[in-house]
Amino acid sequence: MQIQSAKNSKGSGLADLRKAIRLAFGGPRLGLWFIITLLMLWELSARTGLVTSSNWPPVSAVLVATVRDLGKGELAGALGGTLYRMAVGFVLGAAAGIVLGVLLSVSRLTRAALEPTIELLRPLPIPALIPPLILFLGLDNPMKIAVVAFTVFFPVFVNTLYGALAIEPTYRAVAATFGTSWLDTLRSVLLPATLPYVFAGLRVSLGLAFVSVVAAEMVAGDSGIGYYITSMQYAGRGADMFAALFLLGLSGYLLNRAFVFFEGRLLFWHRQSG
Amino acid sequence: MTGISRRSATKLMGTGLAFAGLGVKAPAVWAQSNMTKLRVGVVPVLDAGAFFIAQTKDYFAQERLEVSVTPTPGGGPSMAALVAGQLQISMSTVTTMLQSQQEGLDLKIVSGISGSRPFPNDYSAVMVRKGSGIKTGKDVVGKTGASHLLQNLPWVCTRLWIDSTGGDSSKANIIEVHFPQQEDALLSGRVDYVSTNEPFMSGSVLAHGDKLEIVSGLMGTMLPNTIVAAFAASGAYIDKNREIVEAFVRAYQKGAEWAQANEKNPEMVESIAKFTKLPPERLRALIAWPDFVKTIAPGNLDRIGEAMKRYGALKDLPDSKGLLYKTALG
Repeated sequence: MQIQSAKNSKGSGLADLRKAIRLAFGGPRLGLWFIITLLMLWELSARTGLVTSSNWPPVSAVLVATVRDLGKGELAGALGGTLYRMAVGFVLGAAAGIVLGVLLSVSRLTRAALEPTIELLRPLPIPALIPPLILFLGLDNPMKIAVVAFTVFFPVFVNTLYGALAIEPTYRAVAATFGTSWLDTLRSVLLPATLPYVFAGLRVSLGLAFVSVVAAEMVAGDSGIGYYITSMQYAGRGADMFAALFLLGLSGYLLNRAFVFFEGRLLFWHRQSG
Repeated sequence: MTGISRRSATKLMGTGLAFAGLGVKAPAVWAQSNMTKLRVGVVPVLDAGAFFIAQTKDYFAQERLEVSVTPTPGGGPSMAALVAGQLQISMSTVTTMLQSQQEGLDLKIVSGISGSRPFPNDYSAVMVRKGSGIKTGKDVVGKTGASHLLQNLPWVCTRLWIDSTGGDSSKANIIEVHFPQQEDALLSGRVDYVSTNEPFMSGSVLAHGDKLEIVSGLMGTMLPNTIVAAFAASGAYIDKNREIVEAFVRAYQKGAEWAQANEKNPEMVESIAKFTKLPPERLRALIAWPDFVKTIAPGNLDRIGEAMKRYGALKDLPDSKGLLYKTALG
């Protein structure tokens, strides 16, 4: 009897331990612990001299620099400028991608005329285009916004085009049978059916837009987080450079989360049907 | 007839008297309206110290110039921005300007900016790991070197160093690693020698003097008193705006004179730190400073051009006289 009770108590202890481990490390918390472990390894490698480099400050120094630089307003201003350029470029590139994607899906003539040019331009690496763009658009916002728009355009365009082409022909046929106007067909058939593809393109573009705007700021200009990173690198201020990188990573993560949230809200019907 | 109230008339009279010699300064807005706006591309590095001083001391404003500074990476993008009219005047390395001239770009050097003195006052150097056995160009056979930009002055001078100290630079493996990453590449053993310059040179010696050492001066040693950076403008801009260009150069060169005489002055350190974001203590610890030059002798450019041609960084010998505007000749 006593043995049985001890066994039960041991079993319940193990179950509690398992529960505690699940609580601490289960689900999304595991990812957080992984990040904390990486940061601790970073701190140790810098503190113990495992990595000897002026460009590898301890993570604690980076956190101090992040708070200090944000407090001074310089880093927040740089990030604000970057986000503004990215947002404008994103909207312009996405709008062009959606309009052209839809247009080419409904007009064979337009597709035959424009598709070769678009396919030729699509594989071009955007950093290679920055110097010639400087010649035409200068060093300021127009050049950087154009870089972002160019980057965003292709994934959105391709997804929109192939999303629109993938629509069941029956849908269009039913709309035609009911004598639906071109505009109504676009609004009630084409756009809703294409939207999941468009959003997939937009999500891919979001990350690319972030990368391209920072790359453009690193090559030319006097503001933005890309310029801030380069100037800190050349000034030998490793902690301030990592502070900007840290903020950049965090902003990218939050932007992606926000995008997924709005996508879920806007495309709830797609998820329910799919 | 336009009426004017007594109160307005009194006000106008008062203002007039104030400007007429009662020692009252003109309002800022009025003063600014007489200024010529000038957009200047500047690489935010130590070499531009004299420009920063000219800005700090209002030398440009004294020439009635409202200079707005656009930080640029130098090189091709700066030259492209000049030709496109995005910048009126821009700083870059003279090697880029020599290459741009041969590419047919309509550019003129309007003033020198920086030069390098011979060792031990050279602000650029060949740096190696201590105990690597590399002392001369003869020792780099089979080793990997790093230079900030290939086909640029540090790269040309690294090849000159190898060839002039018993090695053969045509067989040397020199890769491109930018100044801020050179120390890491050297410490980790990914490269065996680097062509560094200030403030990275003194930074490495201070932080890792037990592991790294300088074995030779570089730019000012291989090409004594060489010119490193200069200001250029497009020929078309100069033709239409000679007075503005000359006013800019006068103001800049006043800054260069001051900087040359006061390189370790706290005001100089503060001014460079403000524009480059370099920590002031790092500037105070510099081993060597750039030479803040005003003018350039055509022969100086010829020597750079000859070395560049020798190593394939230029197709032909440059037209140095054609590249130098009269303000750069002194």
